[in-house]
Amino acid sequence: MDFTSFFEQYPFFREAATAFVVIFVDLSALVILIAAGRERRRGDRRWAKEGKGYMLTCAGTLYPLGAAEVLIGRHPSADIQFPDEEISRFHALITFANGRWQIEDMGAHNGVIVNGHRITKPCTLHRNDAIKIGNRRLVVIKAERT
Amino acid sequence: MASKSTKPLSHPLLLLLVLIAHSAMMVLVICSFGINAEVIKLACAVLTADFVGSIVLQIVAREACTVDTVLLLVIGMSTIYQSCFGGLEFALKHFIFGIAAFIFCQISYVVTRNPYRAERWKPAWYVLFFALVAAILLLTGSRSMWIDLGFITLQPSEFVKPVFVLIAASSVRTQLRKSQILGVHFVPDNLMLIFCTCVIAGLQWWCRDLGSLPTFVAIAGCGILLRFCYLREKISVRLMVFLGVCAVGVVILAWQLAPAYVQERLHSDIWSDMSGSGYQQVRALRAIAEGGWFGKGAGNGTLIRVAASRTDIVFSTICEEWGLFTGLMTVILVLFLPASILTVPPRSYYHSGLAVGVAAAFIVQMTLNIFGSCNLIPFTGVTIPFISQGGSSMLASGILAGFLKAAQAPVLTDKSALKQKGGR
Repeated sequence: MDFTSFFEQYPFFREAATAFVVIFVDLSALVILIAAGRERRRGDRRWAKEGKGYMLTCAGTLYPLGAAEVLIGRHPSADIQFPDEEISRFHALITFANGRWQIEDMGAHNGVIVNGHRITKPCTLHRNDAIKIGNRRLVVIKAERT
Repeated sequence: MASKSTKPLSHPLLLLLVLIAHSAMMVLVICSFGINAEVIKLACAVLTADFVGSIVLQIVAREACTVDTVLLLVIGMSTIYQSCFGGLEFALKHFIFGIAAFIFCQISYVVTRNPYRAERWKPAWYVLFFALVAAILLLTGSRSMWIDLGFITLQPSEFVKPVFVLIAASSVRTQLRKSQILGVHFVPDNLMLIFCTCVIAGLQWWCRDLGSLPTFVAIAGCGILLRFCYLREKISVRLMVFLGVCAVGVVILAWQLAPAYVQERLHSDIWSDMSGSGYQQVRALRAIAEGGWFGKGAGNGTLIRVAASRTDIVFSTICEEWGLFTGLMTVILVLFLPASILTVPPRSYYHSGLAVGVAAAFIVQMTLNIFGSCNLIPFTGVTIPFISQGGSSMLASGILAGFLKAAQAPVLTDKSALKQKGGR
């Protein structure tokens, strides 16, 4: 069958065929979007598993550790911000690597105290560790699985 | 972080959809050209690539399946478009570069998936950047931007883009590392970014390739913007106002001192010089209008006779033959790549920088190409990633797509941290 001459004779069918292809590829794009949504949920679950579900709590407020670098300080651009004079603008940095969370002092005047000891180099964090930054006391907790 | 236990279930379904979408397009090609040797070659190449790509991705069980799927879909579509423009001839070279771009994407993913390592290698990126700059300076010029290697011609300025994205990204730790010279505190990484931006701007000016400059400026701008976002400490309001005034001044100065051909494009009316400077844009606009919603049919376009119809005005060529619906759909599909960072947010600042840089590069390139074709902005001659013909552009886009994948499926292992013992 000579499709070329058929399409020349009946252009409607060519338009219909093109529309069919467009609709089909659009549907594929829609499925990709749905899959992307699933991937996002999967990513969140994976991060929770990888990061052991650790988060910080301070006076009843929860601070999730949602990235591999979490900056604590007085400055508005810090990820966890405390507007206290005793806390430096960029006080401490919590990092995630090799399956463990670490905290390090960013040269803060009042330092970072973990479980009663002032840290001088990066310190690995464990569940129920108490971190003292200025007058704030943060505790490392593990999120309950939902 | 990548492991078999987190293998995405939707991957086989997605890749099957890609296969069916390409098959549907091939049915349309067969309807336009009938069954002949070229159609069989094209169908075999595209469908085999989908099939092999699917199997390979299943075996390696990588994550970030959105990027891989969109990449396979777009590369296949692009090969079909390029093979059908103005008559059927299998675009073998375009197809090979498409496959190479897919492989480059996987390689760049492996290289950059560890943000700590990728940032530790920054001195190597600087060396690569200046090596490419030297290659452009010594081996190309204002007349030609290509290096002829005999069997292949390369455009080194395209490969500067991914390297520049690697340079523009930064982490909090790097930003907090300050140096002091003559009592002035500065972050060496920021100083290097500004220096590299100036180098690339000067180079583009010298090469008379100002079309690519907005892409580099956008990458650098996003890098600087991210630095503002997480470290506003160094950026006081006064400094921001000063930088803003400087930027406006540079734009005004560049506008005034731009070369004659740029001035002509900025001020010319394409409709008053339809056979001269406005020829390409007038023909491109007419082609979009003549194509209508569903196009004239694959291979029935006339824009192919106009220069750069496969590269700089490829959007109009697609619209003419396949219709505006297909053209817009293609654009949306390519935009899915940078949009993938919205699905799985990057977990490190360095990867955020990479992802934002890639998004800036892709969006600016597409904007310049499509808006240029539609006479909304002066004609720049920038390619659409993965769609336009051009091996260097295709490979560079593949590398950039790998960065997006790395941001979605990172490996957070820091060997230097392993050597340190946690201490109190």
